[in-house]
Amino acid sequence: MASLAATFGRGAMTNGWCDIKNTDVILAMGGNPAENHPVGFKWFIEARKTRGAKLVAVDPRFTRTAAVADMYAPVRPGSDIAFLLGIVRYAIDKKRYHEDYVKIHTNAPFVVNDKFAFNEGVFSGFDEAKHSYARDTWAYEADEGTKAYKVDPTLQNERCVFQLLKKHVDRYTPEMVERICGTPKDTFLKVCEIVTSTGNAERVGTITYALGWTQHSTGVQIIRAAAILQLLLGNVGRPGGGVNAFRGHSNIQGATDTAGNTEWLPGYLKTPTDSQQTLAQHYDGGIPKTLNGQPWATMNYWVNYPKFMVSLLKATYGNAATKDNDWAYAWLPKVDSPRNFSWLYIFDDMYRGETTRAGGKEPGPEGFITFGMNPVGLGPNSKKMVAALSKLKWMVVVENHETETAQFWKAPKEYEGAEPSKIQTEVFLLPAASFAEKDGTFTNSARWLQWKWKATDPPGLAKADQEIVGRLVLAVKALYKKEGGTFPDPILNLAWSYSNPQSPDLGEALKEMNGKALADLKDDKDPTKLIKAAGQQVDGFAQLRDDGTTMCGNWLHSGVYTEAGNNAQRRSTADPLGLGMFHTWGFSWPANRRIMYNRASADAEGNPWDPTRAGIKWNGERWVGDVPDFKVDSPPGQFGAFIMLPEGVGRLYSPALNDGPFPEHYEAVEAPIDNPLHPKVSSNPASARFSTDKDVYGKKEDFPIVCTTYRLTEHFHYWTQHQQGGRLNEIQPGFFIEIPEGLAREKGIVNGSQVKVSSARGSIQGVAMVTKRMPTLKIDGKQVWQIGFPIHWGFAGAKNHTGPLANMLTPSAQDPNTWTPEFKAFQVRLEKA
Amino acid sequence: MSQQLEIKRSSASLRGERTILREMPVVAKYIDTTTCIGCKACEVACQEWNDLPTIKTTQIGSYQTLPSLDANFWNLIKFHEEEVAGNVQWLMRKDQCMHCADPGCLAACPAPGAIVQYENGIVDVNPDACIGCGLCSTGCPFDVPRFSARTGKMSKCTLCVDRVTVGLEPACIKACPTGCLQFGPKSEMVALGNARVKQLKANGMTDAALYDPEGVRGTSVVTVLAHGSHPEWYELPKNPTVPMGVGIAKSVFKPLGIAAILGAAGATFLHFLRYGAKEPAEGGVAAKPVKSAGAKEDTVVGDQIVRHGTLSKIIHWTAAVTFLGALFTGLAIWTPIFGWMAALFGGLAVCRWLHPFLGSAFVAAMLAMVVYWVGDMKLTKGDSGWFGRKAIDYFFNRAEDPDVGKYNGGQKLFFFAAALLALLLLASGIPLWFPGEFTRPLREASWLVHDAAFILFAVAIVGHIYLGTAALPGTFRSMTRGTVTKSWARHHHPRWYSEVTGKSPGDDTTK
Repeated sequence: MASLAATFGRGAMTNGWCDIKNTDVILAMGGNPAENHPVGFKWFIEARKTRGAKLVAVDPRFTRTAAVADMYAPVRPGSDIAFLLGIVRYAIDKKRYHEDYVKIHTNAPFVVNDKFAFNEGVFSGFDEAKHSYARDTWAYEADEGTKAYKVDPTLQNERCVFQLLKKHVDRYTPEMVERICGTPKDTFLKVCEIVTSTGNAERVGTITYALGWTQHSTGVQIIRAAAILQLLLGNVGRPGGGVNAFRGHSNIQGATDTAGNTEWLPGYLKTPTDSQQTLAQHYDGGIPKTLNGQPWATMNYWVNYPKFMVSLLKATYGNAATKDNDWAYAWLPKVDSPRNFSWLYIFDDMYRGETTRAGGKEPGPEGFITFGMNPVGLGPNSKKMVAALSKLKWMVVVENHETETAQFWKAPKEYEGAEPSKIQTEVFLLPAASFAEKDGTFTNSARWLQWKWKATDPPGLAKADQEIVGRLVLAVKALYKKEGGTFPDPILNLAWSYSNPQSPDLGEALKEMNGKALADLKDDKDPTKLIKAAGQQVDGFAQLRDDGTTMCGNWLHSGVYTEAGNNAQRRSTADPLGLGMFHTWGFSWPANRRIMYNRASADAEGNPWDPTRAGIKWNGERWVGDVPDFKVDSPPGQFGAFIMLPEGVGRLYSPALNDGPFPEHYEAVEAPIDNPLHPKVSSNPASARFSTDKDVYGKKEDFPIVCTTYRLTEHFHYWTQHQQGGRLNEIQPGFFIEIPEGLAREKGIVNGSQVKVSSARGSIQGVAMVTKRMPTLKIDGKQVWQIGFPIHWGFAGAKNHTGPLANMLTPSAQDPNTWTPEFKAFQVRLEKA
Repeated sequence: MSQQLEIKRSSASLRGERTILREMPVVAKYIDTTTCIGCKACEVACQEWNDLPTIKTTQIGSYQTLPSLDANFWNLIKFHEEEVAGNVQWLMRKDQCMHCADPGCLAACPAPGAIVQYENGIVDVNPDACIGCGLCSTGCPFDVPRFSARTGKMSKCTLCVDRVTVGLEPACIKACPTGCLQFGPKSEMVALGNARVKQLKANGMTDAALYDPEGVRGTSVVTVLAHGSHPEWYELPKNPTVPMGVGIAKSVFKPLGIAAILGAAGATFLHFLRYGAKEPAEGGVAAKPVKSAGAKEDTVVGDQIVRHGTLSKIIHWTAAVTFLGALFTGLAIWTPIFGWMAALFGGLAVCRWLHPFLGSAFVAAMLAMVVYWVGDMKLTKGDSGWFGRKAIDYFFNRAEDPDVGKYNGGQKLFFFAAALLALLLLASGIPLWFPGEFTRPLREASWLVHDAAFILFAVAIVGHIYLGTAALPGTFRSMTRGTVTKSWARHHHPRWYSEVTGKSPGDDTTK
């Protein structure tokens, strides 16, 4: 999601599930939607059946998606960037990009300053010691006086983004793609032809992906490559287009929207850092500057940041947040910069028994609360996870099953944990209700907030999450009230004014997230006009103020629970535009907009590229169609289409990421070959790695086989194996390892027999599934075998349904932007068990 | 589309089958394998709606839940990998009962009303009438019905007849996320299928076809296949028909068999009317039987000869009783004409249960008989005449063969034929007893062999009983009291008479 935010302005699926039916071409890559999103996959089928859309599946395995695709292209895990940049090269080379779109809706004409360089696999600004980039050399060239960006509308300037991109991708010839990815040249060219058939006004294509792209040490840049391709083809903002990220869980989008990551507060407001001690400093460090005086003027919507931030502080601290105390900003925790608090780093601290803070080194964490998360199951390098938890004094696990995390202390011996008698960690397991046992919303990949109703009571002593949190909050507050403590203010002043503080009603919580007026809100232009009376729910984030007269728990979700009621509960299938937008079904952030960046669905004059699939159009007075991602009465030409970016246009070149403004093919941290493009800088130089004795990596000579991991339709993460004799365990009964026929022959492995797979970090054993569906690839001149296996099993679970943890083998190397581990490409050894 | 369930056809029914009051559209499931992603939602929905118990499965190296359908698993996606012109294909097809217009299961089913075809095309098992014999699975060209040890009945997809009746779609259709499953009037589903095939062909899948096999007059499951000329890749038979064996058993063997058995009974009756009893002038039946208990066979006791000792009699009567038991239980299953016989045993299901045990006991008795009597059954030169002249003389010319020992050639032939038929009945009966353990063609062959063997046996037994009772007075006593009169022996078995008494048949003066 970091990638999409850095390219388009917001980190989420650009379009929506139902919108896929409007497409002409689907490139399904870095994901296996038929397997992992079978319900949403109906829209793929719809597009194929009703529009004759072409579905192209690119995957290391011949998947369920490939089974129903028009065409399948094999690719080696960890080579996606080469593949995508190969298509970008093809589009530019064959002039199969949407030129009019590129000129007005992307930063192709922007001129980059002359300090930017790319040599031998490294961009300018690299600090070898820190393994990180300084981004100042990546800046656009700007007029010294006006600070306006320099642009060349003809795209001829050799330092304009378009020319830089052309030069950058020139190395990704079909031959090079074949050499790196293993995709036969003819197959690759056929994919290129189909995908670039949408580089015009008449046709639209979509790219769908999921964790097959994110879980790499280059994950963000893979998605960047896809986003660049879609911008070039003019497929962003248009119905049937987009870069569509499919989330791995029913509510992962909602979690991300609501401070699921350490670097964000709700609504992607930024977590304050230690250098931002006042709100003013925080704004200064976080809000992008609007640069006026350029042809591509921008709304730079983030100028409204203070309204959202103050409203959030009012929601958090209530009356205690006043103008005089800087809206209680001081009470928000500040993270030590530049250190990283992503959860793997916390586990690294645990394991090492040491935490690096701004003030120096401190002992590692002594306690840990894990809420609906199973780090031992889902974290890479399971042995390290088990060892890290063994160092804690206490751990609280809030779960609906006794997960691997809850019983880490009795992990089987191959996890190399300490003797249970030697482990001092006190584990508290709080039984929690499952999703079906509580009300609330799910926010799906399409950013739709949909209310769900409790189906049944939780069993036994299990409690809904809100009750567990509520009780915890009240108890901690009482403790602080009684004992004082070092810094009681943020705890004691935390607003907790629910009608049932012990178990807040989630409808009330949703109302709080939507926000309300704390005083009568008058129209700025006409003070006699009352917009909202004090106490009323606001209609949306446009009504939020930075003067303390509004509160809002998550500005992005504002509009979900207005005076009209709980919009997440709407279930109308009315679709007047016929494009599957369903504006009165649930609520879609932002502002119930169904397709983001929809201004780009129209040309410079505001006419839709394709009138049969109009996102929005300018009728002379206002934009009509979908909820415009634009000021509704702003004429075309006034602002760029990408209102969240200071440039106002989509970024082919993005100076905002940690590992380069353009994507570049780097090998996975463990790979079967050295990078053919620049062997000396084989893997991502900026990728994040740990350095403990457990964080080991294998050599390709010892571990010659490429391995990947994935999920199965029949199972849900690490849950379903807890159901004794359940239907899902019946229809997909256990762990297996998919092995190509040729490799099986070579090793004398027969289908159904037991095999052992080892990486530098550990070994697991399982049933061999010998299959034609695992292609044999020729990589850089040599035959490379690849195998794979599903996650879903672990040492916890119902009798007969336990199995090995896939993550015993996976490495903890991470993407340097999102700190997502490289679960999808690593090296192993295979033998008969 | 709420429907009344009018029965169109019913298994093993003698008279008019239709209960129809009004025409119903035939319904059908539509399966598009080209948009099926093998997600198995239909499998779970089927299990849940039909309240089937969870099966314990194990990972055997496949995405497929089970190798094939199960009594407790009626809806199974078959996964098949195939390399076509260098490209891998992963074909997935939802397998279940096809609900044939011409259902082989119904044709094969011996239990009246156990399988019905409703007017809307649904073929359903009625568990109240089902006897769990498994013949339906032998009649099914798609290998669908399974015997459920849990219920003792056959079980298979009902096309959710309970849902369809009240206007709902089958559970599998309801659960399908991609829309590759549809449900409605068959004409609409076929139209949908044809349109899809056309689209696929236009899209380059030139081998696409709609599978709705003519051989069974179409099915209420129409399947779009990308590789229409290779249904076997989807584990579908190429040209399914109701197996020929079912037709032979039902349309040839059954009428011929009934005719043969009734004909044999009639023939013996007519023979008796025309020729009467064959009795020596002195009479075959002793006026005053002697007690022969414990006496050895082939010895003279008073004026009579011991023909069968106690063990012989036990063996014979065991064989006789078990044979008749197996025959009657079998006949009741075989045709509804003899269905009334089931009542003697407590119903058709009891017959099905009892029959193989009785049959096995019979074969065991036969085995004992062979061991015990084979010494007396040594064939002699003269026996060959019993294939021709001697038999005709015996039955129609009242002539007696002077060269007959304890058993005449006809009896020996009967003995060996009975032994052979018993063996055949056992061998063919086992696959019918445990249908789940044998392949369908073997079961089909066994069915025909079993039918043929029992018809021959039944005909022979009619003759045997006739000869042992009315035709030859005194003979029956040889199996009850164990003794025969000397005149009976002299008359019918002259050589044996000489061997036992040491006298030549002509010397007899006892009279």
